[in-house]
Amino acid sequence: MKFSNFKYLVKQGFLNFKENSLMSLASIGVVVSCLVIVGICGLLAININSFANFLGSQNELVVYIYDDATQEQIDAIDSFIKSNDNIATYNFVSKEEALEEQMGYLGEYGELLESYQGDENPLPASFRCTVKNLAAIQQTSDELAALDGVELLSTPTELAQVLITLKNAAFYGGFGVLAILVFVSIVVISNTIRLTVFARRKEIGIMKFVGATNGFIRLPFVVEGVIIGTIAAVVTFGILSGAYWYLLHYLTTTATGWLAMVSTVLITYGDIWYYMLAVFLVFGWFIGAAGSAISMKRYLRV
Amino acid sequence: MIDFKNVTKVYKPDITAMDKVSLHIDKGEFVFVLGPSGAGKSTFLKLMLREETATSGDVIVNGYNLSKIKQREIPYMRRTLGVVFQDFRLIPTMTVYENIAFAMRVTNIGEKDIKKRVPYILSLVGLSSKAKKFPTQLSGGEQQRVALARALVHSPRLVIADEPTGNIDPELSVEIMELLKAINSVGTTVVVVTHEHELAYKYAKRIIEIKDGRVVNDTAGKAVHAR
Repeated sequence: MKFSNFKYLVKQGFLNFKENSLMSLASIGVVVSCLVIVGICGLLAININSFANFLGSQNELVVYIYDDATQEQIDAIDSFIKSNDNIATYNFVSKEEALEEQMGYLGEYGELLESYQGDENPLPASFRCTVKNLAAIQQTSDELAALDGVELLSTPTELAQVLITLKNAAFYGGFGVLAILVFVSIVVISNTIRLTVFARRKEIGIMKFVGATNGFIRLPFVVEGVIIGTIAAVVTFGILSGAYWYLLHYLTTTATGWLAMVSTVLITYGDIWYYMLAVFLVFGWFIGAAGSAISMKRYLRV
Repeated sequence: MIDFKNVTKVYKPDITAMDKVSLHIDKGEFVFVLGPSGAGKSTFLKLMLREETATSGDVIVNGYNLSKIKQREIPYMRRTLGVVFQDFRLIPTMTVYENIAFAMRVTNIGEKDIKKRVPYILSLVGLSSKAKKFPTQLSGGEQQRVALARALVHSPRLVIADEPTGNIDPELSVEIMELLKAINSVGTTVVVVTHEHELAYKYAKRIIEIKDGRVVNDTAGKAVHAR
């Protein structure tokens, strides 16, 4: 298509939008409502995910070593952990370090443990590992348990299961809501544009008789849909950006207790605003273009 | 140019609008397709424009077999012909100039050529001064001339006019018919679909008469007399 004709059709799309300003406004309103809900679900889902990751990283799989394990056995466990794909980080805690840690927990009462120094130390040495994939924690644990010199393992499998369920719920729930709302938005926008198309069905018929291709007729309407989608995306971005920024600001400055802890894990506005804008624009364009293309289908069969 | 080969069109449930019609219209001919209301003229027109498809038989227009044409080829087929409708079918939101320019844009002609061609075509139909008017600001005869200008803008090989004088005054009808004659004189095939016997016999070219979905008379227009 020649650029001058493309420009002409895009201009027609803008004119359509202006002429149907009231209906366009209604469409924008509906799409904004849908995108706001989509955005809230998305933000919830990624923050739940981030929170679950945080909890997961706090979960240690602890490999306790027999007191009489040989240095070779300890080295073998060390190299096994080092080469294991599911272990993100690990560190070795010697018997002495374990005791010091306990004394530290007890604070001023730590002195009570003074007598357990040296050979009297009942605490075992251990490897403390964080895992990458919580779903595979049981398998990793079983592999470690089979090694010589390993006394026992502390594996937080139940918590791991809860976290996995939480992440899955956030992902599938968010995806489900998203799919439903995108569908609703497309139906609404296609109905709005259908009114324009219906009002102009005679014109469309004339265009067909002078030899216009479907793409040529469709373009201004798609442009109209994309304008509606873009404005809706920007408005949604404004609303949710403001709300999210305010929420984070509130949590970091005034929240106490567990809420304050949660606020440190939430994804910051600076890390997410460009994703939000991009996602809203892509959804807005998709909804707008798909909505108008669907609404035209019937009237193009001339 | 136009070939109807044993064409039948049946509308559901069982209305036969065209019954085994065969006819041939050659390049450069000026043909009247004549018949009363309900004779099958509209069906004939719709089949030529591929608005409808034949139930059986072949309709061939400008080399396109419309019974077998692919959906995406239809716009290209329509660009090879110019159509003038009884109700003009101008786009009311566009000026006279834009209505004609639009037909050119559709065929992907650039702005530069449009700016050259549209004023020329408007001068041919005597509407240069009305370029900026909207269709509703024009008389019926003027609107019909705009429709004709639009049909001619990309120099089609075939012009089909559906009751071109149906909605305009008799003196303006003469004007339109003279324009169609002029178009035909430079080699363009012209097919006029009408119910007006007098008009057909006055311009006494070839007349194809349709009645009850059949061709009842097809004459080269030499010894025809108005009934």
